[in-house]
Amino acid sequence: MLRRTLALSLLALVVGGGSAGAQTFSARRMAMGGVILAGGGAGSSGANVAYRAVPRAPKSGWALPLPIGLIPLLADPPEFDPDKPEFNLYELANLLYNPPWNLQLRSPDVSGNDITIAIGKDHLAVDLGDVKNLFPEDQSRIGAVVNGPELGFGIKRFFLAAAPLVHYENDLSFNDALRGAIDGEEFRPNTAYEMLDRGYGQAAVGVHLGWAGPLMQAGDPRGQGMGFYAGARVKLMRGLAYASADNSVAFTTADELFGAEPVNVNYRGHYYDTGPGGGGFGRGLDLGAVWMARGTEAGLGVNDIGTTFDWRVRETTATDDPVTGDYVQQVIARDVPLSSKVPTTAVANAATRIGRFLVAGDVVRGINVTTGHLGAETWLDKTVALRAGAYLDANELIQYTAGTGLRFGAIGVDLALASNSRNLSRERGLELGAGLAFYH
Amino acid sequence: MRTRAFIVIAVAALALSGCGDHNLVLKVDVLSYLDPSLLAVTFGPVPVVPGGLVTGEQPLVDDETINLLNGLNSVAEVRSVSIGLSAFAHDSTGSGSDTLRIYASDENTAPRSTPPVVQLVVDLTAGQDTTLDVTVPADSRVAELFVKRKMRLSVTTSLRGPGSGDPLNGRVALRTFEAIVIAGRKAF
Repeated sequence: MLRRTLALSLLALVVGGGSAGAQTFSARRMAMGGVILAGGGAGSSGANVAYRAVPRAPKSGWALPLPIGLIPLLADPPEFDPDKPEFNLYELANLLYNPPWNLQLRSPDVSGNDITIAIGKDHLAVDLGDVKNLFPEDQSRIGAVVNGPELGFGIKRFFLAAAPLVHYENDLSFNDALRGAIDGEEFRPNTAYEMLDRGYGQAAVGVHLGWAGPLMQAGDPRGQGMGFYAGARVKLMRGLAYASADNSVAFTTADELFGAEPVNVNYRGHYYDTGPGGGGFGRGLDLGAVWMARGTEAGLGVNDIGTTFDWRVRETTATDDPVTGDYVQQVIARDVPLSSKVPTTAVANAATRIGRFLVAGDVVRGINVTTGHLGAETWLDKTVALRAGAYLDANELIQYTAGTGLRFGAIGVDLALASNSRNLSRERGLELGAGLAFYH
Repeated sequence: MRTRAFIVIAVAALALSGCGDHNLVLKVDVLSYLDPSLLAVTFGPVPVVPGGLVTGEQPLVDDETINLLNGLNSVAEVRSVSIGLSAFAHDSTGSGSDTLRIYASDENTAPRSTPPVVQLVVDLTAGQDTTLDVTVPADSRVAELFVKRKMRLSVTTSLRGPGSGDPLNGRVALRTFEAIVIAGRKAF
């Protein structure tokens, strides 16, 4: 049981220790740097509700992403049983980073070096080799809000849709002494070592009720005209699950690291959790605006304004029993009223045509991170599209993308190559995305 | 003690949780746990007796408890362990031999109720300094001791004096005592 718990804890630790950017499912968008596509393409209305009102470009179509990443997974599935020798924690963690939709052409190998622990009565040092790169250099803060997909319908300018919402955040940090020890420095006598981990997540489902329409429109905004569009989306939701955990592990070494007197390790955990039974009412608001003129467009979407959920949760503490050394959990209250918030996120985007090229860019203010995307597309002879882009990912690394679209009448095929750092070691990987396009 | 090195164990578990072809190397400086004054024995004059005077086993370190890393046996499975030992002997006069024996056991067992882990025979020659280095593999019983949270240790000396010539005077001291444990991932 201890080992299974440890395995799960480590999985949480290593996943929490890195920064995961989202995988892009649309091959066209992926090839263009993951940018929000101009004219209401994939991902647009979720990021900016006003795009629901933007007239679709003529001859535009819809795309069907292909989960080509499932092929190698099905051919060689990972081992989920931790009792089996093939069980590989790194492989599972990387699978969490990269759901098997796109095909991973190059995934950085996780270090396989030996690690050495040297101990003596007053000496403890750990040489992790390259494995130490798995731990964040400093404070690691990750999080995301996932809205949708929406299932619904619209009547004139109004729409109604059902959609789930998932929000999670994690904040992991080590103090300087522990960070140094992970980097290979010796543990020192009379020194405090501390690791803090704070995380929470919540899930809900509900309806999106909204309106999106033109506030001003003159002529064809894709031609010589202009248009200004706005949208609002009210979220009325029912909470399904909530959990938060505030953990700290700390110990202070004595005069001798392995002397007769034990070092007291203080573990403190404080949890709140509930399932659907404790889920209450949630409400929030998304607002968006898009301006278009002469083929140029700019948009601003602000999501989850004041999104709040009410819960009735169980409150639990966990401590390290100094006598037995076991972790002791104690429920200290039930049906505790709790209100949680979903952080506000924002997306600003712009797109224009420069000669034969469509150029688009966006800046996304997410949870604890700001990312940016830039992409371009051009069509050759209306049958072959060339696309390229770049983006600044959640690890503050510039990634590069490229791709093509082949059109055969009403059907097309999109392919995209993109680098990413969605892996434990935050090194550059390469993935292939594919999809079908159906043109009107 | 139980959670003393939780983070070290967690890190070790993490490192071992990847592909199964890499190892955890645990180097234990056993000597550092022991009182240096107990690690040397000065003897003499040991009289000349036909066949040599035998002292029998005399404890240098008598049942010392050593605190190790708790929880390591939960994540690591010992593949091998080797014991490295070196001793220095100075013989002023006479000849003979000294046998150093090291006993190790778990925290619930008296060390000297188990077979010696290492037995090192130092031949003493008049007027000579001798340094002995040995590295020997240990059996699985001993290997498992080093991944437990505590072990008990005894070191004994057993002197045989000269059968002829001058009485024996000298000194024997342990210089290093290190265990190197190679462990792999234990199935969760």
